[in-house]
Amino acid sequence: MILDDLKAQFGDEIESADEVGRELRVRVRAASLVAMCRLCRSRGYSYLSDITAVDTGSDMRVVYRLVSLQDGGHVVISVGVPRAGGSVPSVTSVFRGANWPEREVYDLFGVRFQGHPDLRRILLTDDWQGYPMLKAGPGQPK
Amino acid sequence: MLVPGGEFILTKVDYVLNWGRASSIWPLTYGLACCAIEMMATAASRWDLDRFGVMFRATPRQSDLMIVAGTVTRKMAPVLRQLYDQMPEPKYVLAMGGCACAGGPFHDSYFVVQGVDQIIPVDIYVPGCPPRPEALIDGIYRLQEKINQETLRGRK
Repeated sequence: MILDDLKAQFGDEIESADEVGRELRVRVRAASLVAMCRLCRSRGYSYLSDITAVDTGSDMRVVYRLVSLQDGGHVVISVGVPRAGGSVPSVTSVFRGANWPEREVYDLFGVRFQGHPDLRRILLTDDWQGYPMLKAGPGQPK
Repeated sequence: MLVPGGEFILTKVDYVLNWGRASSIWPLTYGLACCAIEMMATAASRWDLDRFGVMFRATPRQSDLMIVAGTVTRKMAPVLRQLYDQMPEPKYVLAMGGCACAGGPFHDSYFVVQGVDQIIPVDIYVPGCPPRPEALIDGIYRLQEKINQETLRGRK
């Protein structure tokens, strides 16, 4: 089971892990994010379905959804990130397809991805001020 | 009139020009959102825009009409303006659907242009979300009526 492997490998780095149906939800510290993605990928969770983020107003998390194309199982990894100008490591070294989703999260939430090859806004115009999906509001053009 | 009978001659020239223009409105192939699906259906065999001489062109240089079919975002706005500027006169704009008319369901949205008439002049508004093909055909009828009112003595 992937959960046992993750616990053996990352131990205290895992903040919480819940299995809901065929979905494994793991909260992990940012430092172990890339290594965890790499392990999951090597265990068949090789399809990065989406990257998004959640801003609750008090804290914020970046969420990665990995899918196994062999058995259809999901692993949802989430990392906490400071709300103002926070950053997490980029997983583009594991999933090349993470390039645009990470740009989208940067564009809409302002999360910076360390090690991203081309971190620019992707949906909004380049002169946009602010990050629309934050609780603070959408911002405006310069 | 400086020329005897000049009024009559101009009227006949107007009639011929307007007949030609109104009977061969070539729109730009340009879809932005779900309205474009209705626009494509209108052009396809069931509603068949070809019978009005409406044939979609793949370049603004050959187009008479821009059907703005869908939501115009702020990022798309300069592109839309450039396409409009590339169309030769006489040119017309048909705003199709609530989004192109006034922002539609994206009223007061931070990144949606609140009506395409903020960027380019609009001749015909076709409301709906999306409008049925019959509504689009009605809009084209009305554009034909508008074209038939034109005269060489001054457009606008």
